[in-house]
This record gives sequence, structure tokens and C-alpha cells, in this order.
Amino acid sequence: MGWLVRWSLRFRLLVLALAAGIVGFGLINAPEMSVDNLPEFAPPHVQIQTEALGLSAVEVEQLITSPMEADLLNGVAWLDEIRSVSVPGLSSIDLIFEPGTNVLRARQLVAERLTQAFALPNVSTPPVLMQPLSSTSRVMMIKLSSQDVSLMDMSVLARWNVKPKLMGVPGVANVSIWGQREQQLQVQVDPDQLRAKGVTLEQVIETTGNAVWVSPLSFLEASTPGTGGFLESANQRIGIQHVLPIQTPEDLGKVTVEGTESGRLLLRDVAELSEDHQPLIGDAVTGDEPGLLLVIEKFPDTSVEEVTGDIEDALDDLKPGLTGITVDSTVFRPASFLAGAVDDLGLALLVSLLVVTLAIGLAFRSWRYALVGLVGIGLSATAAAVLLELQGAVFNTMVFAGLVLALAVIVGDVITDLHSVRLRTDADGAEPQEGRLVRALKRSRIPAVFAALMSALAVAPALFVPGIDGEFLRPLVLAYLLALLVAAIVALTVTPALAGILLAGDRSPRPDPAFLRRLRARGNSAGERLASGRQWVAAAVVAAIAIAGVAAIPFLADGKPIVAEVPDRTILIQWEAAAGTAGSELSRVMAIAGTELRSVPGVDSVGGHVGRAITSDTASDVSSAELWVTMTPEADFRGVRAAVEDIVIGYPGIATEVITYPERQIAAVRDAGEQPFQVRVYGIDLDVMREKAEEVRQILAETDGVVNPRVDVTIDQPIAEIEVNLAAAEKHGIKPGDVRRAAAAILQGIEVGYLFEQQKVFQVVVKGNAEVRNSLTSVRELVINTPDGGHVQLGQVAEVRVSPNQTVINHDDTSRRIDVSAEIEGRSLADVTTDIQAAIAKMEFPVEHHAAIPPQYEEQQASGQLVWWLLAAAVIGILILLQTVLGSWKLAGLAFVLLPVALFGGLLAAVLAEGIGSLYALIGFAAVLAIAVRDVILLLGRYQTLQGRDPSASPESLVRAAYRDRLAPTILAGLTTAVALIPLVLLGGAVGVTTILPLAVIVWGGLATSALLTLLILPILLERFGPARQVEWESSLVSSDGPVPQERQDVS
Amino acid sequence: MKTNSRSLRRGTMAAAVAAALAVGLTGCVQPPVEAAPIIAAATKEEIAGTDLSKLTLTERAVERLDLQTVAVTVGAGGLEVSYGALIYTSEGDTWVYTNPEPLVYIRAQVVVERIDGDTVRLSAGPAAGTKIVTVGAAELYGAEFDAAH
Repeated sequence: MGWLVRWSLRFRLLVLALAAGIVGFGLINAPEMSVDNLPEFAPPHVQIQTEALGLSAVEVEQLITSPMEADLLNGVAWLDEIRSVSVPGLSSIDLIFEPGTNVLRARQLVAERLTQAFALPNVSTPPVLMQPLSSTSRVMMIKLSSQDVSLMDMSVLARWNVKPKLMGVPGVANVSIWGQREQQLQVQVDPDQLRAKGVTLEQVIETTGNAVWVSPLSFLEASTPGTGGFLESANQRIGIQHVLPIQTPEDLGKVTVEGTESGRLLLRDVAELSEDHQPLIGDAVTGDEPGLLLVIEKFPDTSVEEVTGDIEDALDDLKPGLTGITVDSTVFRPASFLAGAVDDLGLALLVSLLVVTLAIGLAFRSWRYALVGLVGIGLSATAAAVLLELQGAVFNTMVFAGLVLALAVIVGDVITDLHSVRLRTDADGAEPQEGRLVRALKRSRIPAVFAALMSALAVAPALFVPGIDGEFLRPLVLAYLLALLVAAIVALTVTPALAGILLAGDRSPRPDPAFLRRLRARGNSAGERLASGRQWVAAAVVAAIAIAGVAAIPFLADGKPIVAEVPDRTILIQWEAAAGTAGSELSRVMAIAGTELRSVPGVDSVGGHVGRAITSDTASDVSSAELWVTMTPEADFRGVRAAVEDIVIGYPGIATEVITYPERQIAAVRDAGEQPFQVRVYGIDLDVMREKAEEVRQILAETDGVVNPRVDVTIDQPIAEIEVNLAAAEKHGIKPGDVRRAAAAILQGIEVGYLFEQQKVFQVVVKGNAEVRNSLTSVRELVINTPDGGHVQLGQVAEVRVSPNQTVINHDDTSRRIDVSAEIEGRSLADVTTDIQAAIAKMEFPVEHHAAIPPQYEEQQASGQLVWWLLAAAVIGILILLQTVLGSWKLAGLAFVLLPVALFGGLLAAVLAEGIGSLYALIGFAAVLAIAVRDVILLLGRYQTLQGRDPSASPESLVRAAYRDRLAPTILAGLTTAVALIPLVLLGGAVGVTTILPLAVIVWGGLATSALLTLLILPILLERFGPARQVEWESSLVSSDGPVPQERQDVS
Repeated sequence: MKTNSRSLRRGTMAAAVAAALAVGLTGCVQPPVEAAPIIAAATKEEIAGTDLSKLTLTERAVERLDLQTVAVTVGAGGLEVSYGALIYTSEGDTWVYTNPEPLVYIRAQVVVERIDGDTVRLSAGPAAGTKIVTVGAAELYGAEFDAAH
């Protein structure tokens, strides 16, 4: 340690120049820091979405999800879990990989498997391997609205102009368009009319498909369009290109129907031709004007502000081409909140730094000391930030919280340094400056470094916390540790270099300010009475209570979310109507709700969407919706949230949830990763599975130690089933497949060809007209052709009935499942598991059905226990470190046993404030620990020094002397630290209130009890139980710090 | 001196009391005070002897859903209602919501004979003239069965 200080003093100019360089670099780079609200917290995963418009959830599962999972995806390397959800029209498969897997390699393996997906039944669009997304991926929502431009024209613009441009912006991973209407050239037929004209549906399909260049239907000639070829003359080669005369529905209507005898029957005579769009899987909620909603998602570890800026530039480029369309990029724009938060926090940090500087200046009555302190703290913060940035870290609230905690420790450390340096200056002016500074810094820094080491040990287990909690704690802890390390280096290099220059001329320090003198005087008189009477009993009682209290921390924090409230400016309302509710109905209510929410004071804009969009981040049917409410910058977040909740709850019949986007994303990852104790019933037949799940529930109910067993509910929605009656079909000479194809073509439509024009592709679709697709009656009366040229009504050959169909089908490990969840209380997991497994083994299951206890819960428990073991190891490590620095088991033991007293204040403050709401706040105790350890070692070191100097003095008098010497600096450091946090909370905006305040409360409380420990309980108990006279402290690292300092004793 | 010593002791005692208090508090952390009870937008009362329920909405809720009602009419082939009034359960049963008195909605079973365009012809159902909901029935269904989860 000494050599570093000496070296820095020798090369002081170099050191200072380097420091100035770091500060300059930090200031220049500050505006370009990548900033996000939260760290990336999702495990490595890959998502595959397959759209199959018009399939029920059961068919999606049967035709898409199951084959893909079982045949293609299961068994990919590093796969941890495979989960899927099948909803009407969409299969979404999530592959979750082992922690630490390189996502890009995992994606490559998945992509290799997906090359076989062409073998799937031809009912869906090809599966899409979704881009890697950030945990809070939505970076912007853009509303396109217009009174004049039709939604279909707007969709064409959005699909072919806006989306490609935005996808090209660096950092943008996905753009999904809610309410997109794919422009189709539709040939709508009425089966009755076809029959009247003597035309079959097949003829219409063939005619339409063959009329255009390209058709996906392999049984049509148009599936092989052919190329133009060349004219080869003696001189030239002239290419041939065909020009499609069909561009509008009218053009297509002029085509003769294939196979009609007269050759005079045109397509327009047998069908209505129009431009229309596909059935919607979702829609936008845009307020007064109809419109679309574009949701833009970003890659992991990208800067929100940078991506937002680039997107807005791209939009500006696009605007000239979007005449008549209003582009509103403020529906959801987290960059606004982040920019505001960064400004607030920057200002708060600056004010905090100034306050600390001012406090140091006042306490030491010297601008030189103030300047040394300012540089020590400011440079540490800047250098830590620069280092984090060079690592490529994204700044988020957790990193910031870590830096703030480190700041709380560093402020006290620096004041201790300055106090120590000043003691020397006062004591002996004749000694060379170098030796004085070295000894001074050794005296203050050895305790600080050991305190930091112990604090690091205490937080290190947090690095091993599994799951989402760990993803949040790691950036916080790493930032905290990095800042402490940087501060230690700064204190040993820059501080002596600067002190060597600045304080050399400070020969005659001014007297201490009045309050310090008074404090010292009180300290002197109080020190005399420290152990009078039974003080020690009271002190021991307090200590015992505090220790017991601190032991309660795990129980208080148990089950708490990692982050209870994420500051944001946008509120997200999720609406879920009864399964099967129409999208148009939900859109109607959303429009009303949107208008009402817009009238809430403090609300800036409301936008949202119903259902989902293609390749969106939502896997829901049209019976669910989201409204995003953005508030004005000055609005009170909690107030507006309460007002919104009041309104939303007033809409009956729709389940709602009011949260913020980050909160929802956290909840989604948490729910997926952290399951309650479950017994899972796997199987094929839903009815059997429900029955068996109920049996399992009864087994659980009878097992000791299992509380509240419940079967996860599966929701049904009505679906119209068409089942061909084979006997009736045989009578009409028709096959079930004929019925399905005919009904599918009429009711859903069949894509028969494509029109390529103006660099865009439009579908040509044959489908039934609106009346045929209207109701059960129209379906039953649907006329279909029989192979022999006859006609039959669908109701005559098939039963059309409404039946229950699952709304959502979840798979885990490629199999259908129903979970029976419960809590375990009062018995060990192993015992309960054994009992349940024995009982399940006695149950009888049909083939392909079984029940099992998934291993995830046990693994969660086990990985949770690892942290406890590590924590225990850390506690032992702290004791050993204390012994190392103090060189005495007795002193180390005493200090160790009493350390919880310091933590207790933090606990008390947290409980009195709001309770420990979030797990991350627990790291605040590490800062308290660092502060307390530092102060305790300083006191005990002083005691050892004094004893070493006067071995014959009574321990009582030594304790009192040490107490007197440490009283003022301890209180000064504590007060300044406490004050330093105030601007961060008051001026820090939403982040200050929601993220910093819980930490600050713990630190404030901890500072109070830390002072109580150092200045009252420890001295009292030290006198009572401390070492005897004439102890040698040779092995202590803090026992000899040079000649006895003649501390200023302005006893008045 | 004596008083000072006493004050110091008192300070220690106060700290002890505070500590004890905190331990007590940690034992029973108070749940946050419940907000004033909100009048539910829809209240459901079972109607004795039937599996039906009587839904009572607040005036504000009716306004918010913009519920519309129309009377059941008699057409050429019998009772007729608007297609917008019809609700299918997942079991295939068909229902409409009647509006016997302001703010009160009760489900009534209907038997559909056929559907033509926007008109549903019933072979059985509430008597002609009964007010039934034509806009917003899906939300009433959601409110009655709380199926929206």
C-alpha cells in the first residue's frame, strides 16, 4: 500500500494528468452512454411462431405444434426446456436453453432443425424463427392514422414502405403491425348462384388461379409460370417479358370460366370481385381516426435512446411519402422517460457531490480539503462509469443503484482519509510530507479496504442467485464492487498526489467549526462515564435484540419480488374478455375506454391493440386487448395509476390488469421460470387428463405437508364443429376430405394466386361471400359439389354443432399437461415427494397418460440453498478477515457478534418506511456493513494503537481515549453520507423515489445504528469484556500508526 | 454529571425499546390499509331455484359498455331477435340477456330455428316485447361467468 502512495507522490503530475484525462473522457462520453431501464433478465431462449389463420387451438396443436416439437425441435443441444402455446391461429414454441448458452449458436442449431419444417401439413405459413429480443423489447409504438386514406391503403404502405425501412434501423429486431389488412383480390362466390349457373367451385378456383401468373396450388398449371425466353437474331438477343393485363378486380372479372361449354360465361357473371382483406387477428386502438399500430422491438443490449433516435430519423425520411397519414410516435416511447430520468439523476448526483464538498469544506474549514474530497469522490464515480462503459455495459437502474450504494461507502471513506491526513498535518509539521501522507493513508485505508473486502464477501453470494433475481442482482453487485475498487485505487493514487500539492501549503489549519468542538467536548465528558453501573447490561440487551432482528431479514424478504415497482411513464392495461369474444366487440369497448382514459388529468396519450399481429410479442386471440396509457412528464405516476385503475375496474365482464411494461415482462419471465410445487398430468385426452388431475389433487389433499392443492383451470370456448356422417356422405358419393376442402374454401377462402405489381405482392383469394359465412344456419345450408357433378347441402352430409374447444393449449416438454399446484409447508420436500410418488404409482393411467413431479421445483430449491451455503461461507470469511486485520480473536469475535447491531437500523428503517418491498434493496445492507466495519476497525485500531503506546494504561481509559478520538470523525462521516443521499432521492425523479429511496432508507437507518454501535455499544462492551492490560498487538494491521497524534482538543 | 449519566442510560433504554418494537413489528408486518371499497361495476346474485343469475350493473357501467337493448319481435315465422343478442356457450346452448328493469340483466335461454342475415328466428325464447341486449351481451356473459381469466 505504501509503495503505491509513494509512487503516486513521486509522479504526482502524471497521476493528476491521468485523472484529468479520465474525467474528460467520462464527460465527453457521458451523453453517448447506452441507457435502459432494466438489465437483460430473460434466460437464453429462441421462439418459433407459426401462423395458421383459421385453425382452432386444438388443430394448431395437432397439425403444427406437436409435429414440430416432437419431430424437429426436441433434443436440440443445450436445451433446458421446451414450452409451447397453441391458440386459435397461432403456434408459439419457446426453447429455453441452459444459462450461459450462446444464443447465436443455439439459434443456428434450431434453424438447422427447422429446414425440415416443409414436411408439415400445408395449413400454415412457414414457421418463423423470431429475432433475438431484449427482455423489455418494445422500444416504440407508432400510430398511423388518417381520415382520408383507407386502412387497406395504409396497410399496404405500412407493410411495403414503413416496415422495411424501420427493420433496416440498427438495433431494431422486429416490427409488427397491428390491424394490418393484407390487400387481397377476392373472388367471392355464392354457392347457390354457382349452382344456378351450373359452375362448380373447383372451376372458379382453377379459372382464377390460372388467370394470373403464379399460383401456390400445385394442381394448377399456374404453379409453373415459366419464363419468357429470348429472341435470338443475328445481331441481338432480345428478352421476352409477359405483361399481366389483370390488375383490378374488373380485369379479373373478364376472364372466361374454365370448362364452361358456351365459353361465354365470365368470372364476373358467377362471382363478386373486389379488393378486400383477410380476417383480422387483431386490430389497433387509435382513438378518433382509424389507424394502425406499429410495435417496434429491439435487440438485447441496445441503447434505447439511440434506437429511438434512429427510428425517428427514419420516420422523418418516410413522411413525405405518407401524405394524409398522421404518424404519432409517442404512444409508447420509453426513451422520453429514460432521457428525463438520466437528466434528473445527473443533476441529483451533481448536487449530491456539491453538498458533500460543501460539508467537507465546512467541517475542515478549508477549501483545499474540500477540493481533495471532491476529486476523490467525483473521480471514483467517473472512473467507475467509464470502466463500465468500456466493458460494453448498458446503464440501467440496477447499475445506478450499485453506484449509489458504493457512493454511500466512498463518501465516508474519503472523509476518513481527509481526517487522517489532517491529524498528521496537525501533529508534526517537521516530518517529511511523503512519510506523513503514507502513514495517514495507511491508517484510514487499511480499515476501508478490509471493510470493502468484507462487504464484497457479503454480497458475493448474490452473484450466484439463480434465475431472474440473479439477472437483476448481478449488475447491481458488480457495479457496487467495481466502484469500491476504483475508489480504493483513487484514494491511494490521486488523493495523495493531490494532497501532496494542495495541502503542502496548508500549514496552519483553521480551528474546527463550533459544532465539532461541542461534539468533541460532549464526547470527552461522555467518554468518562461510558461503563458506569450496569450500562453494559442494557448494551448487551440492545445487541441481542438487534441480532435477533437481523436474523428476521430472510423471513421479511422471503417471497418478495426482485423489484416491486419499476419507474416508468407508461401504464399498461391488459384486458381479457370471455374466451371467444369477437375482436370487433372488444375494439368497440376499447374505443370507449380509450376516450375515457384520455380525459384523465396527467394522461398524455392512449393507444393500444386488440388481439395480436403477425410475428408480434403477443400470443393471444382477439378476445384480449392492451391499452397503453402514457402520462405527461410532470404527472404523478402513482396518482394517475390509481385513477386509471378506478376507471378500468368500472368495465364489467372484462378481466383487467394494470401494470407497467417492465413489470409485465418481469412477471412473464418469473412465472415461466419459477413454478410452485406441481404434479403434472401428461396425456392425450383432455377429459381423461382432467379426471386424473382431480385424482391427483385428492392425493395431494391427503398428503401431510401439502397445502392448498388446486388443478390449473383450462378454459373452453365454443367452436362450430363439422363432422361428416359417413353413411350420409356415402349416399351422396362425397368424401370427408371433399367436404373439408369445399367448406374451407368457402368459409375461410383459398389462396389461388399472386399478383406482383409495383414491387409488392398481393394475394388472389377465392372465398364465399359474407352471407355464406354468417351463421350456423348458413353453414348447414352451404351447397357443395359432389364428385359426380351433383349438389348437396353440407347439413345433409355432416353434423354442424357447437362444442367446447380449448382456448389455449400449453405444452411442456412436448406433451399436453394439466398442472396440479400446491404449497409445501411443515415437511421436507423430499418426504412429500416420496409420499406423492408412491401414491401416483398406485394410480391407473390409460396408455400415453402419466403423472410426474417435474424436477424444476426441486432444482429451484437446491439452487436457492447454494446461496445460503455461500452466505454462510461469507460470514465465516468476514470473521477471518476481522481477525486478520485486528490480530485478535477476542476483538474480532466481539466486533463480529456486534455487527448485526449496525444492520439492524437499516432493517428498522425499512420496516417503518414500507417494509422490504424488493429483494434488490437487501444489497443496501452490504453498504451498511462496509460503513460499520470501517468505523469499528478504526475504533479498535485506535484502541490498539493507544494501548501499544502506553501498555500499562487501564483498558477503560484506553477505550475512553479511543472513543474520544473517534467520536467526531465518525459522526461527521455518517452525517455527510446521510446528507449525500438526500439529493439523489429528492431530485432523482421517479428513479430516485422508486429505486434509490428503498436503498437510502436502509443506509440511513444503518448509519444511525452503525454510529450507535461504534460510539456506544461497542465501547461499553469493550470495557466490560475487552482485553486486559498490556496486550501485544503485533499481528494487528491497524495497531501502530506512528507517533501519538496530538489531536486538537479544543475543550471549551 | 448525574443527570448526564441518566440521560445516557435513558438513551440506551430508548434504543432497547425501539429495538424491541422493531422486532415486534417485523413479526407482524401490517398489510397496507385497504382502499375504500369500490362498488363493483356488476354484481351477481343467484336466482334461487334456477342456475341463472341476476346481474345488476351500475349506471356508469351501462354507459361505459354502451349497452343497447331492443324488444323481442314477432315475425312471420315466430319470435325474432337480432343476431347481436345471441350468445353461444361452449356447450352449444344459446342465450340472450333480458333487461327486465333498468340496470338489471338476466340470461334467458332461446332455441334458435334459423339465422337469416342479422335476424335470428327462435322456436322458443322470451315473450315478444321483452327487452334484450343487442350490444354488449359478450361483456354480460363475461361478468356472469367470470370466464375472463
